[in-house]
Amino acid sequence: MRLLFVEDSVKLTAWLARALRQHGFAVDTTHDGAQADSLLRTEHYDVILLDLSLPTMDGLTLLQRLRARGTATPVVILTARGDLEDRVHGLNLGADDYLAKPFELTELEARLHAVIRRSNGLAAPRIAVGPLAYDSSDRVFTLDGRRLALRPKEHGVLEVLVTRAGKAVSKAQLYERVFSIDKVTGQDVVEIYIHRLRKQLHGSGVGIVTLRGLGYLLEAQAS
Amino acid sequence: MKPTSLRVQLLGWLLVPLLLLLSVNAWYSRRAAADTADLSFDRLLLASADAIADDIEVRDGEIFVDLPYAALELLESNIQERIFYRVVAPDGRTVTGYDDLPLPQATSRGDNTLYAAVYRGETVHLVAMNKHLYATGFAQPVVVIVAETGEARDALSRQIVTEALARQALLIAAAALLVGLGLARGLAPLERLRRSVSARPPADLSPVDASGVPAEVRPLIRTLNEHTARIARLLAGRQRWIADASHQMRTPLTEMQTQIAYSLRQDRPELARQALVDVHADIRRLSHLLSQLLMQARSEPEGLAGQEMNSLDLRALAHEATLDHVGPARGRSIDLGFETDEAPARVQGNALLLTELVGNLLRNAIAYGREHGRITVGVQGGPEVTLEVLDDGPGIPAAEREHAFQRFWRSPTVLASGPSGSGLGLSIVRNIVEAHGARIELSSGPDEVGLRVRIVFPAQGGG
Repeated sequence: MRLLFVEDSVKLTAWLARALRQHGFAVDTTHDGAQADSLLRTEHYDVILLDLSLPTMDGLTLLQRLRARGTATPVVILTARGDLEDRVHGLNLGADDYLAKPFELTELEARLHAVIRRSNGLAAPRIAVGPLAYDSSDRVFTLDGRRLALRPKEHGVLEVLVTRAGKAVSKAQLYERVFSIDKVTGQDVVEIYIHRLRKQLHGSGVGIVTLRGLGYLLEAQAS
Repeated sequence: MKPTSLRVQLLGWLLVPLLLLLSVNAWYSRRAAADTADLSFDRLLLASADAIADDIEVRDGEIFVDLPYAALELLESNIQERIFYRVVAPDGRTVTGYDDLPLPQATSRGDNTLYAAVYRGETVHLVAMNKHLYATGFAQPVVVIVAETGEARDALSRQIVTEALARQALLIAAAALLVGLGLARGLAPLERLRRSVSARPPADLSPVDASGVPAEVRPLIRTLNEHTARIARLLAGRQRWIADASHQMRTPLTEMQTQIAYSLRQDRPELARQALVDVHADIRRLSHLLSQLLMQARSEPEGLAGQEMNSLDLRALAHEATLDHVGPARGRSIDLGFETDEAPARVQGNALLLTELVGNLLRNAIAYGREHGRITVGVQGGPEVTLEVLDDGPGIPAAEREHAFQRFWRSPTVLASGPSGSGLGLSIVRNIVEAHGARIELSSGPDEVGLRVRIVFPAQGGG
């Protein structure tokens, strides 16, 4: 995947480009806003990593021009300015994500992949939580490599939990997403399906945790 | 409001009413002067008529007038004025004079009638005097009429008015001048004060000396001095903050520098790697410290002034903020929960700051709480909305609680063994709490275990 990295700090550019190349990106770098602008007129990139303070043309102007030309290439803004206004302004101008310096390399890589996926209109193709894996293309769950047989509502609940892995999902949200068609049941029906799923996953190294007052969380568990 | 000069205002208030008074006065003076002039000139007319009347004789049944020119001279003056006379016999015949000079419309009860009439196109002042002739055949009196055009009496009345008005105008002018001078003297201390303040060195924020300043202005100077004192306190606070912050930053930087310098000298790859791992962790801590420092600076009262405050649902906000910390809590196997009731929990507040507040409390609870422990975020609605974060960790000993909100304060018990932290979290929390007019209490949890942070928001006025 081609990445354009526009950043005025030479040292940060050098080290971060190295790290991203190792991670599998084809990285082009430039230190100058106007140069980046002309590069973007001729070259195609899958993602742009953009610092806001740049010589000759600042990052927000560059972004504005890019979007004015109708280029939809996802843009992740990097900045040392941590102001919320800046963030809102950047996102309004068409940035896809925003990362304040200093940041963790792993965090940056995750965000880059996320915006590329989103721009391609794809959800994460394969999600894994411990031994549980979900393939979004054929919507199949596997546990320890074996296909998990689930009834439709169970499948629905687990699907919501796995796509929000690492984040809690409230009972109300689950009910809304899975059970809203037949309104006759109350929200407590969710508990029945959680209970069934827990039985299915029991002892597998992945489980559903109940968070008091917050909802449910799918997480890998030490067996 | 347009700034107005005290001088202009005072002169306006003084001069405009005085000029109005002057014009009213002028109108009355004109009338009085006209009366005065009439009185004296009417006397002269009478004297003239009397002199003429004295010289009326009856000889052989005929009336003769030996007109004494002296009689008319009485009326002569510098002003070009015309005198008319007429002597009318009892039978209505004009004995002498201008026979078209009009008689009075109605005779007064006395012998003399003063009146005005239009004669030859001009207003004239007339006197008609009845002269009884003590001769046979003249039961009715002879009427002597003397008239004059009014130039002289007009001139006199004008002169009286002009003199009176001139004196008054002089008085007003003198008053204006004195007010101007008095103000200049009164305002001089203010001008001296201005000069002394503008001549101060830039860093001088000491109070301004209000002595010698008019009593009316002294309260203003006192208030300005209090204002300046507040600014001085804020500046001093900023200075302390910068000193504290640089101290906090320098220490970890020095640690890193030392570790790297030492590792570079050793030529042992495994040591270099260890140094990198340590420094990476240090940098992470330093980043956190930096963002906390910035948040702390922004949450100082002067930084929070002008922040937008909206009516918002604290329950939803706290729920959302708690969800953000599920990951870190699970990382320490902490049972993080949220408890609430049904009562409305609306507060007047800033969503960003309140999220930061909950975040700081939760970060503390997760970092300092017990592994496999339990943290509960609670929101109770009602007239006074309460936010509570309860953990079952070591808590803060009662003796240390009052220090807990101080910037960079860290519990001695935690410092010895516990996790690293910036010492800013609770200080930020306190600032945000104060900005919302809320109050914060630290206490122990149930059975004297853990820490309970309780924030009570003021009841919202008007529902």
